[in-house]
Amino acid sequence: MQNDECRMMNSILHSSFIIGHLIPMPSASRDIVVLNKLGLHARPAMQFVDVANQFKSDIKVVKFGEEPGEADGKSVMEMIILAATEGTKMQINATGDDANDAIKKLGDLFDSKFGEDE
Amino acid sequence: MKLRDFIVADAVVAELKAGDRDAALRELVTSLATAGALPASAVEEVVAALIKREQNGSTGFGKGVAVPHVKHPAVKQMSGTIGRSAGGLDFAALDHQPVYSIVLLLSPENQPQQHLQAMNIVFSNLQKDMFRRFLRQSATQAAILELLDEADQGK
Repeated sequence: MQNDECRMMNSILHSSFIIGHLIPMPSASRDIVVLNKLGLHARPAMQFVDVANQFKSDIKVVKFGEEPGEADGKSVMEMIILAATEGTKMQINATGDDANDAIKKLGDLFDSKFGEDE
Repeated sequence: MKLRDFIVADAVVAELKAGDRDAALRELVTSLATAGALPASAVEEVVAALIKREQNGSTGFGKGVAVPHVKHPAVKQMSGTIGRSAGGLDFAALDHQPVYSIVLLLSPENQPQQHLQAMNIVFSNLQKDMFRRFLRQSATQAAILELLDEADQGK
């Protein structure tokens, strides 16, 4: 009896797992490099968060290198804590219906050095 | 890097007299100059730069804290201080709430990595509810310094 219940639970869990995969949440990601000399200091971090908040998608920012980290792209504090210097390799990940648009706009910010001269 | 590496102990102000943002910035920069972290002749310029920075975008990031910061040629070594306002100050903060704790940071020019490291350690602590609460409750310079020591030791 217990085995049957166990099997049934497994089957339910398994099918919901499959359904989860049949309807995937749209997602997009982009590898970027910090190009501005001052790095991801407070102003660019706030600029990033401002743009990220224009989208419904969840935004995660991953920092690679010797001191890796991950931040919620909608949290100024978390973004500043990344302390990403010039040359740091990072990845922006978006999950949600507007993921593609979000990735494009957020990637453009890095490409434009957040409007900084150098 | 640790908080006590750049927070100038003698410059910490547990009870700000200032009643508004600009006066608080001036009080803290003056305190840094009195403690020897900045030439007295540079105080007005640095205060003006900090005010301009705030006008371009508030460093009141929410949850009752603000982190005004600027780099300036008169600053030879990265130095910071902390000011506490029991009554709260209007910093035009992101969450529109008053600011009770100010961490002010002055950086030399051309040391962006050091600046980012300092901001990292400041925000890593400010993000913790307990740290913010204890900072707001620390009514003396000694209590604030003790809190910083504990934070540096990872307690």
